[in-house]
Amino acid sequence: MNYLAWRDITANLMRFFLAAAGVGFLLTGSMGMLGLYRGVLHDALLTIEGIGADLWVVQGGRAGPFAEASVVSATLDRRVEGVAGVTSARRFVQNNLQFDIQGKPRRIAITGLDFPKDQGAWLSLAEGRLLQSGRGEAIADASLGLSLGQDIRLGRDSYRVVGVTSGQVDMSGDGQLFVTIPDAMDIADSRTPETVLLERAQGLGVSADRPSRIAAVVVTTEAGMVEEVARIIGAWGDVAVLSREDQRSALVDGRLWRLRMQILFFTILLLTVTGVVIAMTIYTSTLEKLHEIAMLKLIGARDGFILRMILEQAVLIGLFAYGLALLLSTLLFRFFPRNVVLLAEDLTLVFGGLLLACVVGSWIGIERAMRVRAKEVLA
Amino acid sequence: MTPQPGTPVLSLRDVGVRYRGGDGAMVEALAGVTLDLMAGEMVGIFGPSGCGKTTLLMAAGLLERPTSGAVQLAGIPAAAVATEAALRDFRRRHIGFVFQKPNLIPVLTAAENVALAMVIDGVPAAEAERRAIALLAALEAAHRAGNRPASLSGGEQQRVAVARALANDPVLVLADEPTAALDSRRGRQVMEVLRSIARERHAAVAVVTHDPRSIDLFDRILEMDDGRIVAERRPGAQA
Repeated sequence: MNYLAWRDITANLMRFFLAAAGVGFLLTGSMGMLGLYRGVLHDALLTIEGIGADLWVVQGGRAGPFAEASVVSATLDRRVEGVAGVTSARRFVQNNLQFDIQGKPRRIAITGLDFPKDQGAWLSLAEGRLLQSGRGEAIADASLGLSLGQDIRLGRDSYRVVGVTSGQVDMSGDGQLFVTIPDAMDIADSRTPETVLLERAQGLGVSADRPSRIAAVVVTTEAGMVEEVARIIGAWGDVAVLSREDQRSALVDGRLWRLRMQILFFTILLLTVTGVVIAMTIYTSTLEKLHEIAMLKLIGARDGFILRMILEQAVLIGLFAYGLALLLSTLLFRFFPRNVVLLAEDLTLVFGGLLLACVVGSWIGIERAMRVRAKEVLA
Repeated sequence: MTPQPGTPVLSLRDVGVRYRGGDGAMVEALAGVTLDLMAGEMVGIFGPSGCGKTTLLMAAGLLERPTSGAVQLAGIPAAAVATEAALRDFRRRHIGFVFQKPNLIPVLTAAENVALAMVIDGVPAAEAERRAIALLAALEAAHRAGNRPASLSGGEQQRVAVARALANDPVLVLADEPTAALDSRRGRQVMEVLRSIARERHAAVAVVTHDPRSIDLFDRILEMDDGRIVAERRPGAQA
């Protein structure tokens, strides 16, 4: 390293630290933005990736329950099971509802498991066990604040928490609560007795019973049969068949597209501000040193020597700021209400953006320094 | 390469410098100056303010390209050094500068200030610092090698500046009012140091000054006025 750059920094430590701290906080913002997006994506894909579906059978003409409302018959799984090449067909339903838990309103993503075919074995339990009964049991995510063995009243019935998961939330960040499909439908269809009586009086007797609707059927197939099964079921016409990749795409390129763009623009904005802060710091520092730069030129310093001196200062500010941002991110993001996931590739992207900001930011300082003439020492 | 005493180090032939002034009129800062500086001699350049002394120093130091005439340093025509980068390299290897203000880098120690000129020339930092301390010792300033300029006296700073000017063993040392900010005792010391550089290192030393107190140390004295050398004399001889 150019020791002149290092000495200049050590002689003006406070300015260096303040500039680096400012840039560091901006970088923390950039990392937080990217981490938030990754967290949303992670949460959103948790169920899609975890449930182990080769295909999703959803309402005809719809993009599936993760993109829009999807309603299919609760007996659709039986039709699907009859298709050659299908190894299992499970019903799927998920509703976001709000309940009072311990006196506080809390949003819960109620997810139905097709018990006994699906007892929740694909979930990662932090404590407790899987579902063992078709009624009255629940597996709750830790974010809901429910403890093992606790009874919780949802709608007309109470459910006992028999298992606790960690980090099992939906795209909105609502903690998931897993119950059997019939329980999930009951909870979703919770109506007051007056409503039921009124509907019966109006002759809507059927609607007073349990609605036979679910969101989708989750299908696994024999090896190499995915496309054939999809073709057969797709030909029925009343349903649509989506692959796991289709579901991912519906989420990432559909529902999360705007969020992704928004976060991208914010990140670019923050990196631009970072560049401006670095530029301002380096430029003012360069202006203060114009006489010394003229002297350096007088004693024969090449442009490269002066350029390196300025650029290295900018990069040092950037490196220190990056370290600070990493530290802050590691310490603070765990306390954020939403899941913030820092990926190595995103940190590399931020680092690359930072280096670019350092180079571009220091450019006006370098450009000014290059215009200084040696004879200005005599001025 | 150390030149032999008495051989020309710097030659100016009919050098003129003209530039357009603020009012648009042409200003003739140097008007056909011809001058030879020999190895081992110290020349004083005297004259009133605005007479062209500093412009002469800039032309001699290859800081200002003359609009007419020719400058030759160490046997090489300055016009043959085409680019700014090449000119800077050339200057670094052949010329040392000393100014009224020492112009030291405030964040570096005295030794580092001297070493910097060598580091820029490609000498490894540790070796440069070793040589810098030796140079400071020769100028009786080694005891302040680890101090920053702010903690040095004016005379000490100027000696550090002189050491820096000598860092790359130049054949030509140009000094612009090097004693103007010093009291007479310290000013004399600095002039004696410049004198010893000419004697012991066989460098040509040109000093622009208003200060007549050390006039006896010069081998030649040039009087300037209106961009011209109007008189030349040797101390003790009649002008």
